[in-house]
Amino acid sequence: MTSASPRPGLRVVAFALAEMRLGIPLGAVECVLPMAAIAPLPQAPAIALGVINLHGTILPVLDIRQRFSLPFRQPDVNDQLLVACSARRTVVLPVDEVLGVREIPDDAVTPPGTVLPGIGYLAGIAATGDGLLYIHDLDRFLALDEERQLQQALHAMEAE
Amino acid sequence: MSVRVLVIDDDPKGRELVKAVLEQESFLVRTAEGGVSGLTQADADPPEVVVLDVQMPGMDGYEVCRVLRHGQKTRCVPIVMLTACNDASLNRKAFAAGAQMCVTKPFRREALVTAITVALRMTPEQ
Repeated sequence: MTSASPRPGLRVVAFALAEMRLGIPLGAVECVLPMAAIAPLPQAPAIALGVINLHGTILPVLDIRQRFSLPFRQPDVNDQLLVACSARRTVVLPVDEVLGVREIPDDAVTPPGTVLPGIGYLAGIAATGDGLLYIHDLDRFLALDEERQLQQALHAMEAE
Repeated sequence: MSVRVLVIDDDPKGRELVKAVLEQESFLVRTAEGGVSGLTQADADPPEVVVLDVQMPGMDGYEVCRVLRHGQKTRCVPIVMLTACNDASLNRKAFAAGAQMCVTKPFRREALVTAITVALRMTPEQ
């Protein structure tokens, strides 16, 4: 008797944000950095905290706590910066802690419900051994007008 | 109501420039000519935000930042640090000392005001 072959899984980088555990597909994650002070980006949409300079490249730092309606808190020395690529650009997300890579069977991912804060920014929810993992859809992080405003602010900064 | 800012910078020209820029933007500005004076003022009457030059003789900006972060009255006051360049390692050092935002000198008015606005936003209400 042979057992069914395992379903291919989705590999995600899991991270903690307040009480939530979220994940971004591994392929979208470029690197993880220690938290740093952020440089201002004038005329940016409110969702952008500013920018960091990563090896000469200016990258926007986006406020993922605000996107998921989580309360503000003072950044902590243990916080980390998750650098990830959306379809349009590379962005930096300040997170409480990067938990590591998790492999989730495809059939363990269910569509998000309808009552969760930030529901529009999720690709799915997975039940894992250590609780629920919300899979973040990075391509939907910025609304079109935010994307446009961010682009203009970054262009203005580069033109200086 | 105007936001109360404490500017700590040993250089009188730099100090007065930051003060003038922020007063034009309706901030209520006090200044201190060095780390010790700044810490004394901050402890006596905590501001809503500190703008701090990193390069100062004696007690430098990082050290002032660390003391502010450990002060009972000042540990939640957001700090904007003025640095010589926008460099990742310097920004990490500034953050480790307790600053949320870094502004590179020479700065544009808009950049300094944006940094203060975001630093205030990142701080929970007391």
